[in-house]
Amino acid sequence: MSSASVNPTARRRRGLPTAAGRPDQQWVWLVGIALTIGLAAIALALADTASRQGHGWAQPLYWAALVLLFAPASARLLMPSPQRYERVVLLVMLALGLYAVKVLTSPAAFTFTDELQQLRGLADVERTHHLFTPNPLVAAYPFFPAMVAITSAVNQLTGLGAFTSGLIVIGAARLMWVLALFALFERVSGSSRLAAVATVVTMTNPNFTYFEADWAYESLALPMAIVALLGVSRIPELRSRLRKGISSDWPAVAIALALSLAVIVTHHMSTAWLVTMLLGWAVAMLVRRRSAIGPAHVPLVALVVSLAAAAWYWFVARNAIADELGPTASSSISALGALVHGSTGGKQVFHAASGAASPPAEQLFGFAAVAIALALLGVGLAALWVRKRKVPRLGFVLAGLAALYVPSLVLRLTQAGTETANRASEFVFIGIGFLAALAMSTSLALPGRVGRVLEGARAWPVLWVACIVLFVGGITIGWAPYDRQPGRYEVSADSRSIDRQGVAAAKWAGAWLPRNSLFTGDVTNRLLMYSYGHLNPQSGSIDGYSVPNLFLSTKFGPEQLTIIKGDKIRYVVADQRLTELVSQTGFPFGEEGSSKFNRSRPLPIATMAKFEAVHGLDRVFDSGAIRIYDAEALLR
Amino acid sequence: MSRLSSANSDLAIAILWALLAGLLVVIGDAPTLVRSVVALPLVFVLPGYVLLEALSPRDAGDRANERVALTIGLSLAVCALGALLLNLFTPGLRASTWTALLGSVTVLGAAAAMTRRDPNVRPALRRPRPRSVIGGCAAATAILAIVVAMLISHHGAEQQAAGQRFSQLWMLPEGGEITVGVHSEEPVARRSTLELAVDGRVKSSWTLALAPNQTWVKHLPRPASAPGQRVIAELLIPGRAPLKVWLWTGKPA
Repeated sequence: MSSASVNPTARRRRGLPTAAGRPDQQWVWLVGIALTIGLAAIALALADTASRQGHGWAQPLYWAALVLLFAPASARLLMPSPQRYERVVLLVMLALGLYAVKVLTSPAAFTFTDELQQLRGLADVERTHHLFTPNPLVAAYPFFPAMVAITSAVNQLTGLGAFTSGLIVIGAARLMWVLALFALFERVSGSSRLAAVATVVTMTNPNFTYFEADWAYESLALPMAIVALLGVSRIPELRSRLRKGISSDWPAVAIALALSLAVIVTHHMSTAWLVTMLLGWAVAMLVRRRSAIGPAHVPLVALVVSLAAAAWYWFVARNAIADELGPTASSSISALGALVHGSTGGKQVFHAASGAASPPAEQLFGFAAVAIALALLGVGLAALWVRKRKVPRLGFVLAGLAALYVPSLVLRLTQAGTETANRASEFVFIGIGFLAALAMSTSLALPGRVGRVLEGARAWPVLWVACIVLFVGGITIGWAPYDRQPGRYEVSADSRSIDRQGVAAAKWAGAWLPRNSLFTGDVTNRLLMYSYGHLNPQSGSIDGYSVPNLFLSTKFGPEQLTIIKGDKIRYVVADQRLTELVSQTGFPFGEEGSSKFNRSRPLPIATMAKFEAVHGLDRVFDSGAIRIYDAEALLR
Repeated sequence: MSRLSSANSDLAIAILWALLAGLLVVIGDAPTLVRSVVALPLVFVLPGYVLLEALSPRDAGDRANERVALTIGLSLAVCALGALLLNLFTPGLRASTWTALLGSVTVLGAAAAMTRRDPNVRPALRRPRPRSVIGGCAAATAILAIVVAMLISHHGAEQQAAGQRFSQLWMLPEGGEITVGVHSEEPVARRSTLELAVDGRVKSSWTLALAPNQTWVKHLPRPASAPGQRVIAELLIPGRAPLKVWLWTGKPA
């Protein structure tokens, strides 16, 4: 029987292209989806512009554009008919389209917190031509300098400027992420369709659209870690490639090691993820030596990478990591302990610290997304059990990674653990993506109604709807409403607080005030004065007094004087807008001293006005909203 | 047969590209567009490409997406680890040292790849297949639309920034002098009055009409004032709250 006379189902079973998969059909789909992604990007730009102008329809248009961007491409990727090449092109377009969502939010300059925290690092590298200049905002940044160094290379070689260079670096990382993850899933699942399904589900994680797209070290390191895993998975097939000279596996091992070592100097948590994956893979291989990959390679790479990471952490970045991750980990654990023992009531989910609640529809999508992720996790694990003899060892490691989703959800119930849980999602969703693909491709053959429901849920349209809910719900979970689109100025609202007046004041400080002078201010001005103003911020506490109390008190007394003298604060940046608008995060000066004021109201006017009467505090700068006081006379 | 056969044309181009990048650094002052076209492949593609060709020669069973991911990954790994190497030396991380590092890796890697590559391998540079052309066109369509979207969004951001109107006033002590400055971030030229007062009495005043983004700076001898009093500079802009800065005289209590 000729292949042309075979019906579509039989063709699909035999691996032949179906009608929808014919080359001439492919181009219609590809071009059509390219146009929808382009149209969605333009609609997003219009929605962002409308949001800047305060139009009420900006938000509905934003959500419609996001769904238009995601839904057609993901539908086609979940269908059985596309050929491998079409899937790769669609995934690249979808990943870059979602990168555009973040870029369109801040199209002219860095506005995200992590970006501004690292901008000064870039300036320091280009000023000193060397790495490791301390960063008082995030102590760990200088010890993981790869992202800043690569951006500096692009900037110095092209002259494009820091912002454009940063966009290009993260754009390249995004391209690398999607190509490598698809390849890795394809190697584990043995199917381009399942790889595409797994990659699409991974893209729905709450941090993919915004957090993983900002100019920050994790946005580069995680893609590099995935490429490193891909490098390890390729080792056995490269044995016979080399025509002469080195005839062993060492060249392939060298590729995997070079990629892994680069991850170590880029980001701590991505390194921890990579080491965990490699060690888990090594253990799985040593337990059952049936894998295609020779047993020596993965354990060897895992051992070398673990030792190198430990050496870097211990000899180079020990204190910085302890400073950055120690308090986060301990506060998450103690908050969790308090929740378990019932000493605290837990966090009210979908409520900002100021008390404002997310709209009901957003909450609904958020809860639905969590339910779907849990369902995919459960069914995927069952599918893994059914296919346990056919799934490669790495598949079990990915399943273990996915299982971490459950404890991460528990952490979300605490205020202190929310950030840890949120940061974990881009890692654990790689495992959930794999399990989702496994669930879709495996019949659990359960009897009765449950079995019929599960069998029906394996159809691609069902998973497609689930993916849309995961995608929309992920954004509502992972990114605060005020941060998704640009708009009018808000107090301590991350990118919405970065405005022209604040940046101009910081640039003035950079031009007129002594470099590296110590100063304090609210979280936004601390960022700006550090990144653009080249001043060094002071926060935390001194002699038992919390530095934010310099601002939170309505009077200037001995406590405030002690803070200035004890911390040698030369400049005080007072932003009048804190007395006019409610802080969106609830922590205008960071979490220290946050219990000192009512978060549902702006600060009292007296908190800023008190500086005017202090003899010895010279007001040296005024731009209306922002005033800078020089405390030099008080320090003498 | 020479190693520089058609099978190695890709490696030869990589070497020439690296040399061109070096030439641009020597010349200096090339336009940004030219520098970008030459430098971006040097950072993101060439080192990884030649290293991959040397360590993992191309094969008929290779998947393009894997090789592209590994090419970018290895290039970035060379940059990341190379930055640590450059940091050890006095010149540090500069355009010249980056070019030397990435160019050297490219040239040496290409030479190594030439010796390892099977001369019978199909040429790396060949006519693209129709599916690649159409796939590329589709991706280019999406990227072009995204660029249009960025222009729209950029215009929106500029409009929003232009809607913020403010001026800056500052006064800084410099030994026996003071520096008073005004910077305009107003959308149009505006008249304003700057007054300098000591102990509550206006000593000097200036009428300013600064254009957008214009700065006015004046260095003055520091006026004498009684301890506990202030030297105050006040910028009066019609229809706005005045901007005010001051310097205290004498030691604080």
